[in-house]
Amino acid sequence: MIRLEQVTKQYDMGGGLTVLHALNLDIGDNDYLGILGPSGSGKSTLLHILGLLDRPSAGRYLLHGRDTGALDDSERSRLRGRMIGFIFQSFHLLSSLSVQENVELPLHYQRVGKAEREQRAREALQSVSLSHRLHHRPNQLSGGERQRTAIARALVTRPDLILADEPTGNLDQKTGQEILEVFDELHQAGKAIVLITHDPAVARRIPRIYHIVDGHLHEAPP
Amino acid sequence: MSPWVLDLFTAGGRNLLRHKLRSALTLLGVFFGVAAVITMLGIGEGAQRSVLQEISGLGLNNILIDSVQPDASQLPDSQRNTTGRRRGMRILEYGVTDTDVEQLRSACPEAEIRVAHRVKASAYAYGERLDADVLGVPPDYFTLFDSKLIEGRWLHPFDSLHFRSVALIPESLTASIRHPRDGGHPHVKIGTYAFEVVGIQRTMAPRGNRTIYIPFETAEQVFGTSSVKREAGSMEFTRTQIGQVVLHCEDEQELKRTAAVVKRTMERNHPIVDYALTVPVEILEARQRTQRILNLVLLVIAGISLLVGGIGIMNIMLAVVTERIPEIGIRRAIGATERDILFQFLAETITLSTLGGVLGCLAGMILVPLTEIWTGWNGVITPSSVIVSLAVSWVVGVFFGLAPAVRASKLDPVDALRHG
Repeated sequence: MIRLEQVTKQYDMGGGLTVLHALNLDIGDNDYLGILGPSGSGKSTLLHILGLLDRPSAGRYLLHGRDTGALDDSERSRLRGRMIGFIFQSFHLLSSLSVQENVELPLHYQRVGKAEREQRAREALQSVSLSHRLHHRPNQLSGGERQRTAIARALVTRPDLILADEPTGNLDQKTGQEILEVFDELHQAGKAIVLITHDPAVARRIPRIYHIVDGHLHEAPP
Repeated sequence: MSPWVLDLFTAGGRNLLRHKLRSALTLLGVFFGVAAVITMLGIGEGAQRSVLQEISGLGLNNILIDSVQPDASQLPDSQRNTTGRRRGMRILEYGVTDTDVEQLRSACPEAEIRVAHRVKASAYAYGERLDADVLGVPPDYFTLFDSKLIEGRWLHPFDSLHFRSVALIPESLTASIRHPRDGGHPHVKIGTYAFEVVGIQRTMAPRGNRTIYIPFETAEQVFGTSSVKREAGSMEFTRTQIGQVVLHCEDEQELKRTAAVVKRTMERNHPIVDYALTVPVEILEARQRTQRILNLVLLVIAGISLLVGGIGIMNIMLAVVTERIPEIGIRRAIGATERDILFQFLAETITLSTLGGVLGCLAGMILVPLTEIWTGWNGVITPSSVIVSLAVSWVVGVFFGLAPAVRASKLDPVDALRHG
């Protein structure tokens, strides 16, 4: 589904700072891979490139065989909305909207009608066991519930790929385990998942692990 | 409206409602600006209509020449005729003459001409002097003006033929002439002669609301063309052949041509200006020019207040964009395009300015009648002024909302996400 070829990311900060060095990576339709690395190693930058939020300075990013480097902002946004679901460490929910409205939001950008939006949001929230929290505000939820809401929001567009950036980082161990169980279920349901973490305990549950150190990616032996 | 646009404005409205006080203060500028525009346009339109009504009452196709007594210092010695045993007695002849009228008739054959006789005697009712002029007019005089009979009848050709002592009074004198003691027909006394009031009318003829009309022939027969004014140690005889001439033309072109002929004729015949020439259409044009300038000034003032309102909106929206950078990042991450973000912020600004515009329109609709009451000016709110004001408020929203919206849409999604 995804192929990175010699992907490099450089920032023009006083002589140039290379964050990613000629990365090569293949992600299949039902892959579940974890990327481990310390802070500042380039994990999040890689995730942003995979999520079409950022562009590589060099190299090619092929999504379903299509070179994303040639796409303009609108095409990248539409592709992101349709094929990729983001889950963030700090949930990134909009506090002014209810749980259901937060989950509906990606569908709004795909011009899905109101009735269908509501229906699909309710289904997504049901799949993460949050049917009873539809009309609550994010600040009325626990950390685990907020992350479940974020997962529902990522799932509502029925994406091919889920990108999770430290999804358990702000949760206690028990809640973190519950969220990881949700990821296991998604993997079993056929979704491709890329999960970024620095927690070895989390990484142990993930079948395919990559280490990223100083912008270099190494696959860990199984 | 498409569901997407409806969603956009609903979301925009909800975002504004989250900060009610800030939103209310932000739309104040547009509110005052639009209220000013509506009020200015209303008062401007009212003034325009008043001028048009007042001047068209004089008859836009009419030319009026009135005899006016010149100032004594302007007169040559020959005109100040001191004769006889009684020194200090003088005869002053002034105004429009029969010769003028004859010349005008032959120079302007296409114009209808009416001649009126100005009676110099005062009018009384029940011993009280009336603040009114007296004019002897032909029966068809009123056809040249916007006149309406309120009660009774018009002057009739028989009145002139039989030198009847009948009068047509203006509506404004009705209260003075209808006295409680009066059981029969009301009368008015002109000089020492009693005239029966046969009709009450409302006319837009010059000073028509303070003029008593009597038959032309009666006026000439009873009062003649001369008058005597006695002062201590002197007597002044004045003689005016014709009090007023009205020329009526068929169309504007003919009017302009006739006006030029009249001016030439009168200037030639009257080296001393003892007449007043009124061309209502020229007055109308001059007043309309003045009104246009005034309207422009008023609109510039209203425009400045709208500009200030717009800058206020832009200022607040720029702050709002900064405040909501993380939200923009989230929206971009879940599929919003630059255009989606642009329209989202633009919808909020347009909602604000349109709401300000609607409230401003309502305020203007209240202010215009209040201004009428306070100042006595006429005010008219036309649908076009409401549409223009709303359109302007909408344009203000788009124009001043564009910069913050563009700024929001151009934010780098990764930077925006990190901002949170």
